[in-house]
Amino acid sequence: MRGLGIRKLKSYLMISLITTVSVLALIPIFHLITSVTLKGVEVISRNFPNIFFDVRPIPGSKEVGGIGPYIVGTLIITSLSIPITLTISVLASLYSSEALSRFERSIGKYTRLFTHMLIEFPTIIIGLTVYGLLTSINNLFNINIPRFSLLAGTLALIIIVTPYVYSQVEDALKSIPSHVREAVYSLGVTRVKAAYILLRYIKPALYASITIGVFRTISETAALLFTAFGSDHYPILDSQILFRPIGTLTLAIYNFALSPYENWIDLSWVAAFTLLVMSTTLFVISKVLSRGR
Amino acid sequence: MSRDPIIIINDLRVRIGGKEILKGVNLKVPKNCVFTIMGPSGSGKSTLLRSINRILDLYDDVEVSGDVVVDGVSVYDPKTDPIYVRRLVGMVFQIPNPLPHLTIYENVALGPKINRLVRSRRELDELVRWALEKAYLWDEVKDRLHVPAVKLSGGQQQRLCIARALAMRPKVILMDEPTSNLDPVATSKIEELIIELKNYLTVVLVTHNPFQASRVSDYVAFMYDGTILEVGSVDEIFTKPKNKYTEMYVTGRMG
Repeated sequence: MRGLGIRKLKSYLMISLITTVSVLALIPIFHLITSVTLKGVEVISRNFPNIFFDVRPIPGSKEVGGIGPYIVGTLIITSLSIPITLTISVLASLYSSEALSRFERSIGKYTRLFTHMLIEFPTIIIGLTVYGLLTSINNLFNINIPRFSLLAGTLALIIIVTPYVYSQVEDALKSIPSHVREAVYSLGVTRVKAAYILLRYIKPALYASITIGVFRTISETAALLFTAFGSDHYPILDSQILFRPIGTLTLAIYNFALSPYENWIDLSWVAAFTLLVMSTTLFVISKVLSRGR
Repeated sequence: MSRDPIIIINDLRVRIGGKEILKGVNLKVPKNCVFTIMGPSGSGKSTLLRSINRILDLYDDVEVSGDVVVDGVSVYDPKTDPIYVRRLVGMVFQIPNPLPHLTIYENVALGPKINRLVRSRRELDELVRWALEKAYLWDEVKDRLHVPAVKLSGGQQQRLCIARALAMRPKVILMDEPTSNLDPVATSKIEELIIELKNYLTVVLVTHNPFQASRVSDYVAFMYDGTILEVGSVDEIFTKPKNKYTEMYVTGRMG
């Protein structure tokens, strides 16, 4: 019994240490959320609700202005890239996790390998690659697709986000117990129908993967510097929209934060706060949707 | 074995990951009976069962040679669609595995609905009721068909899985140690059900439990190390076995 006191002391010390370290790890995220929220809300209150619709003030002006074009730009580029990203990643993950023949399995294996490599790529290189690709296409066919455009931005986002969603969905499919997969196939269903049942089985994970995909899309900056480029005007919804540069919230944060004007820097806080709210809303929606049975 | 065989297995060899699991199995399973494959763990019983409906196809690195004929259909003929085979041969697993995201009704209705075996909602309702009645489950669940299947007890879940397989109207049902995770009361219900099922289909049961084999079977095959050592009626196997390993197994001196 003499050792009991020392053991209790050791246990107490370890628990205190773990608690302290956990709290330390949480400090940066709390700091981030509170500073963005406090600063963002303060600026928004000066020009509410117009701050979400106005354009940025001209250099030297003392007006607050707004981030309207960047919100619209983010929504447009996300709604263009996400459907394509999701279609490719869900189909590819089904292919590699439900492969039956040796040929299919080896294709699946290489798909997995390459997508995991792609996840590790710095996104700015992917932006540069898309820029280079469009340059080559232009030179080869003697055409002139604008390299700073919504099209280029969308393409870069698809290349960046697809591997993330793919590996999330594939992990979820791989985690299905073999007896469940056997039960589904033993009903004599075709592979397409089996895939449908298995996707329903992993519904919560599927929603989480979609959320991660949208998170990554709305938060990407580096690759868009070379592609979407940024614009301070509202996008004009016509047939040429794909071929013009477009502004996004992340590009607005980057450009405004580096500017010499106080009121522009304030707008970058508002853009950051708006992104934070969008992400949180998305997170809540995906949690609610995935609750189900 | 005077009755016509519904399953004929000829020199079936299965290698998984380079290791030979089935070493040339020959077997004939007569129609409308309970045919039990009995043997110690690791003897290849489950692999044999999974090769009958080609569920083995789902796994990596599996090589199959020889043939299995079910109701006149050569299962491993390249022209045979494995989906057709799986509709002909239902399966029930060791772990009760209703799909947890579906209700009791949906679990039974899934197969017929997705394979378009019924033409109307009424027909589907009738089929679900028929399957649940045949699985001795209808009275227990008729008032809560639309609650999630995972709310049922283990034994009820297993009977639900049997109903799910029955709803596809198969000619053969494969059962892989269906009671090994159940208590004695639930086990006895499943065993009664197995005996009843042979009136309209053929049951191939895998078990390592000789007592269960003697209680429910018409015929028993004793399997050991990837081969069938002896096949016979339940009386022959349990009263006058010819093979010494069979005798050791049924008398409890092995396995």
